[in-house]
Amino acid sequence: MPNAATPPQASDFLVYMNLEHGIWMKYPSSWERIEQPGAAGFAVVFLSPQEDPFDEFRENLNIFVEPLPQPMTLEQVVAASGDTVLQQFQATFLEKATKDQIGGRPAYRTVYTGSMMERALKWLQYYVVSGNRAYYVTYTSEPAKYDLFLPMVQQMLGSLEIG
Amino acid sequence: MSADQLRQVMDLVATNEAFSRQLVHDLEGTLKANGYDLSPSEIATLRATFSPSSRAPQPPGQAGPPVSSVDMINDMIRNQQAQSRVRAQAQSDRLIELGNATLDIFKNTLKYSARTYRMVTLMNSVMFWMGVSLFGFAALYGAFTQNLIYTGVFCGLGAASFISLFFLGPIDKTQVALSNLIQAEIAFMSYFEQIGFCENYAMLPPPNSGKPTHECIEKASELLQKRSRETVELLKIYLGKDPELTKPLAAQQAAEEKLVDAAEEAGAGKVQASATG
Repeated sequence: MPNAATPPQASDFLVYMNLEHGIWMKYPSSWERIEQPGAAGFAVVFLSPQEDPFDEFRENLNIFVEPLPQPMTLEQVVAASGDTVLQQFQATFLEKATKDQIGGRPAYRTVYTGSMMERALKWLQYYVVSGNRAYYVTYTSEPAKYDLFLPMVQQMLGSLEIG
Repeated sequence: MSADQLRQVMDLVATNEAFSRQLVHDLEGTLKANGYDLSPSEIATLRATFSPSSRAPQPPGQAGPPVSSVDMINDMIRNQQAQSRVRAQAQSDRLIELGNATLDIFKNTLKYSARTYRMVTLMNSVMFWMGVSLFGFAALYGAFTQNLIYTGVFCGLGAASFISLFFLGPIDKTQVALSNLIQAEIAFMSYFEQIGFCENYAMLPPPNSGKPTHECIEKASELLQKRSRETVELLKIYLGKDPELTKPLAAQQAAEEKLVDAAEEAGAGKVQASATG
């Protein structure tokens, strides 16, 4: 029986485009999109479908765009974010930050587990720097469902373009 | 002329994936490379059109803008989780309330049925002993007064109470009536359970969907209507005055009893055979 993580057909994908923040990505039409600008930057979250009425945590892929107050290298952004993650989530790194590529740009990729809002979670995070902006592309999941939604998330990440 | 170009660009963005991807990387360069010459204000319009929420106001009810990326993301996810939790809790509460209500009704029905049955049994005992007393009194009255008319009357009254007790079968009728009442109650309980199932089905988002669909709700509604009709039919059978309606059930019960008897006989036969063998 198909579930919420079953890859949809190509026709079931929508395009998300944000020229202001240089983001282009395809996402399943069944996923909910929420955008929120804030003092710290701009965030867009793609929430997976609720699996049942009692599903309290919807796995999601979010992109956060942070304007850099001064020019920073990708490595500096990764180091600063690592400290934040350790403090905020009492994170345990399953994969230390390694060089990768996403959205046609050099990136760092890391996987960690931790706790947020008294809930154990697992994160896959990419860091990208483009111009004077840092992009944090994060897949957040309950540990047990991480692998279930990963193929879908990888499809989404594969379509990502960062301007 | 330029307004037409803006419209063309917007159409192209909507239809040409490669073009829209390229725009993200280099907006003005891509426009020029494709032969579009838009003014700065038109470029700003284009940018705003395809960045719809970049400058949206904060949702109402929030204390203030989140101060960090983690706060922002947490805030959004927390809101979403809170909504899910409220929905799930409301549904759970409704189901619990419905379950408790049906259980209370069932308990009350059993309680009142037992009380009624005890009362009817007591009344039948009274009738039985009254019949016995009338017979006894008639015998003594006849022996002492030799008045056969009154003796016959008392004897007749005693016989009437026995006839009403053993031939008209009020106990059996009471049992059947109470049994039907309880079966009607079970039909009701089952119907309430079905309401819960149907509600769950209606609210359950199908695969690859974040929200309940009209199809699910429509199907759940159809199922509920079907269950309603079936329950009404059952109630007609159990509570209806027309004895014809109870015939199929009576026949079914009789067939089941026969099967049970046959099974018991077969079991007894085996025991006997093994005892004699």
